[in-house]
Amino acid sequence: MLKKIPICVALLIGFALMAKAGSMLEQYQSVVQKLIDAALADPNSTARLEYLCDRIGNRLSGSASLERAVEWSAREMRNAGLENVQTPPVMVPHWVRGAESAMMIAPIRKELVIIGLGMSVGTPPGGISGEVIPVKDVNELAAIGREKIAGKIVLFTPQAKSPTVEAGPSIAGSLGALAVLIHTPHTRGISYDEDKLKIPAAAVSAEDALMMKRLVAAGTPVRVHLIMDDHQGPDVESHNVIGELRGSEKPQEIVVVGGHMDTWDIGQGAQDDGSGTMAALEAVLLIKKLGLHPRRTIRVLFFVNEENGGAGERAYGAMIGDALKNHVATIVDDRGAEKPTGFGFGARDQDKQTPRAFETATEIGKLLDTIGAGKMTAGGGGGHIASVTNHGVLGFGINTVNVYYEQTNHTNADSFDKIASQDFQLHVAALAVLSYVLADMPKRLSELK
Amino acid sequence: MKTLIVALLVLAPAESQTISEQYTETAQKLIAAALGDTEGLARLQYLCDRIGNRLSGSASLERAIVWSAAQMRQAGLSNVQTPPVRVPHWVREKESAIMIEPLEKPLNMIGLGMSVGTPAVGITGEVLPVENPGLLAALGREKVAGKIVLFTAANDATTYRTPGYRQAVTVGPSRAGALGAIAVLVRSGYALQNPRTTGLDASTDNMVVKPYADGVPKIPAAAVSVEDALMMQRLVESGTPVRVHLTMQAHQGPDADSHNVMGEIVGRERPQEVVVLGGHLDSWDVGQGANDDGSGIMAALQAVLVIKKLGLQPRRTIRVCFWVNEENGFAGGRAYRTMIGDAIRDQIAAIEMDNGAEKPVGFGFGAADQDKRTPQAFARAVEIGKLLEGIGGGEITTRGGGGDIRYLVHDGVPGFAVKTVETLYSNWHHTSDDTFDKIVPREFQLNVASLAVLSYVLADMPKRLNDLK
Repeated sequence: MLKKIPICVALLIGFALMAKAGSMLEQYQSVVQKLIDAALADPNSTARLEYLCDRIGNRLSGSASLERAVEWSAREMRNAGLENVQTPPVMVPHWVRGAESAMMIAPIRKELVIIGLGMSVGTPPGGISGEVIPVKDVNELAAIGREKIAGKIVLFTPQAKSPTVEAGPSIAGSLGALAVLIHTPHTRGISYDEDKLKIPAAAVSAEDALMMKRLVAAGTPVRVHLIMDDHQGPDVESHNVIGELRGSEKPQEIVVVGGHMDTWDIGQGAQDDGSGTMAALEAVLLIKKLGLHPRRTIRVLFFVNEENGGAGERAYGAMIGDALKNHVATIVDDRGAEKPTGFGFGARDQDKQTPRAFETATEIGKLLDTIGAGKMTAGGGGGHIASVTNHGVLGFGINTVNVYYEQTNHTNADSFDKIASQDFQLHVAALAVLSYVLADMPKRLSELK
Repeated sequence: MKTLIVALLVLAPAESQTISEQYTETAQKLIAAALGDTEGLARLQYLCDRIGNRLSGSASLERAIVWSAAQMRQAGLSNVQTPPVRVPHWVREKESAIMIEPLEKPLNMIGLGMSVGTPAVGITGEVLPVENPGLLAALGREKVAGKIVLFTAANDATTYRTPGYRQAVTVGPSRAGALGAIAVLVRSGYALQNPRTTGLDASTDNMVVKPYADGVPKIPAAAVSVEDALMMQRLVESGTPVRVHLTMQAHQGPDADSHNVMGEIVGRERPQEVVVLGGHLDSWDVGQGANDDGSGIMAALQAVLVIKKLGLQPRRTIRVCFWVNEENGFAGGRAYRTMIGDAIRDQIAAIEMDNGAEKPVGFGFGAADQDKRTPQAFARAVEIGKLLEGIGGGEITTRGGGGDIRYLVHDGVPGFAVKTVETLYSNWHHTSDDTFDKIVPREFQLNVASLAVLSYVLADMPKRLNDLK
């Protein structure tokens, strides 16, 4: 008998451990399956996204269409029965793209395909003309020096993702350049150094950039005439959009799920980030339609001005104030609507910072294994709602297969036709499962270290 | 006995030797020279970057003609000439389209070549999506009149030649106009917001192209991007009326003077017999006309120069020809046919490269049933093709010809068309993306190699291809 007690104890401990290890899966497997099945069976899952794209269109901060999108979103949330729907005000920058054109005037006349980079200053009314000097990136710019840069139009020829895009115009301006053209079909925001000269900056198509580079390499001087009527108006009032599914036990504790409502002013902002906002909304409505009542509140958040300022997420942080401590997690869908593969979680070393939380997140991810959307990786979770995630709240950012997204991101071709409804439904499923489990599991994720 | 065999071999007429025996070594030399040659690419780069696109009637086409003739002369071709051709002078000018309902959105459009313009203030109308012109009659005048017809047939998968799209840009505007439509929009090919132009072609009578059918109202026709076409289609399908405002200043000026460009390696035995090869010098007025058809003419020229540089002089004349106005009228090909007159009987073969400069796989030859019509000639062509097996460019199939050589082929000249893998060509075709950066040097050189081998052997082999039945 004495000998048997330790065995019983050991067995009990063993069962307890097994139960703990399998608890998440066991607890949530059946409800997760219901959520996934419902998401994948919804024939109208993309209807709201289609409306947003086709009937409202792109929605740059400061534009009338963004405000239409804000009003429509709040109405959709209310009509669908979300609670505490509100549109707290946010002051956003109001950058306006005027008429833009660029013409190569030597050695031959050829109209160039350009698009001003967001937040760029304009040219004087008659435009500017200058010789083009192709430069690989900002490092090469410094090496070439003021003497050769001053009075020129600098053509940066890196591929899309490069710090050159953000920092290039200020550095070129400080060396006396007239303007900057960047080899990338994508528009995106630039950030000027306030103490440096602001010069106009535009993206130019790969074809035209390569042509100018070839001509100069062949010894033929290239001159370009650039006209950009872009300008910055005074800040204007916009609004984040919030709606909730109130928690059944701890309503003050909050899981945020969402994306950004604003877009660049071209295309339809279908994948950046119409699909993220709409998938988040559909996910919460799905939980609601299934009659599920998680312990904590799930809050849908559409923040504005992600593309050119970040005012929306900052305003959200200011609005919640001390309620920050009740934020359990944030989930953001802003990587396009291709097939989801999982989530980035927290910081790059999140698995070391909070190993238990990471382990739990991984366990939740396993619930999405059947749809291949459950891989949890450290990093990429914060940033979008930095006012929250920079202060200890754990963030999740969706990841996708990312095959075609870069082709259309920030271009005129980011439109609804690129959305595969099956992939979109998988986003809805993944967001629904992650937000539901985070909101319902007995322990707060942030308590696990 | 041994000496007798040797003697017989020496005395045997050349014809008893196979193509492979006669030409393998020369073909190897031509291929090696073509693959090591960068002059052709440099010329193509100049044509694209320094001259640019070259629509019939434009100053840049005339610059291209002067430059091409100078290049041929400098490279030492004989009988370089630029015979005159009258070409249509269609001018695009300013054009734009904006969706004004249910919301304002500028559309990515490009007028179709030879289209009429709109009145100066533009036209406004409700959009009626119709898959293809074949479905217009069933809708009837009542539903079509006053509308802007949007032809929605998809054609972006692998090729721009799907039947629905072809109908839309050929008979589409005329049929819609006959039912009272005020304009036509056509869904483009490849996506990513780049609309594709092409020439209207309602009918071809006596081998003269008519953009619009006789006796119907001529209405403006433009291509819109895939994205914008799909958007309008979605809106209408979901019950939301779409209205578009279209402004096109396109107009037709009086015909203009232009020129074909020709140069030769004169044959050593039968100079009057000619193998002609080339493509078209004109292009649409967008992009650089790099693949269509800068690459074709520059590869043809280089093929001839590779033959010349190796010191080869075939029995017959090889003539390189850059025809004009292939895109909107075929006036260059017609003028060439008129110019040669009775000498048509001495045109041994016509080779056209006009499908882009991707990796060549072989040549189309003659009619759809050429292998049955002239089995011996077809077998001979297949033998020549085998010389190109080393570079994978020698598969001979039926269906040769091309826009520029159609008048020669029509009158019995054996026609060859370069065939390529054609994987990406239709993405760029007739868009602003048809630029020099799409040319892969190695693939261009392979085209030069296969054109050099085919034209040299056709010009040199003892029997004329058209004597083989």
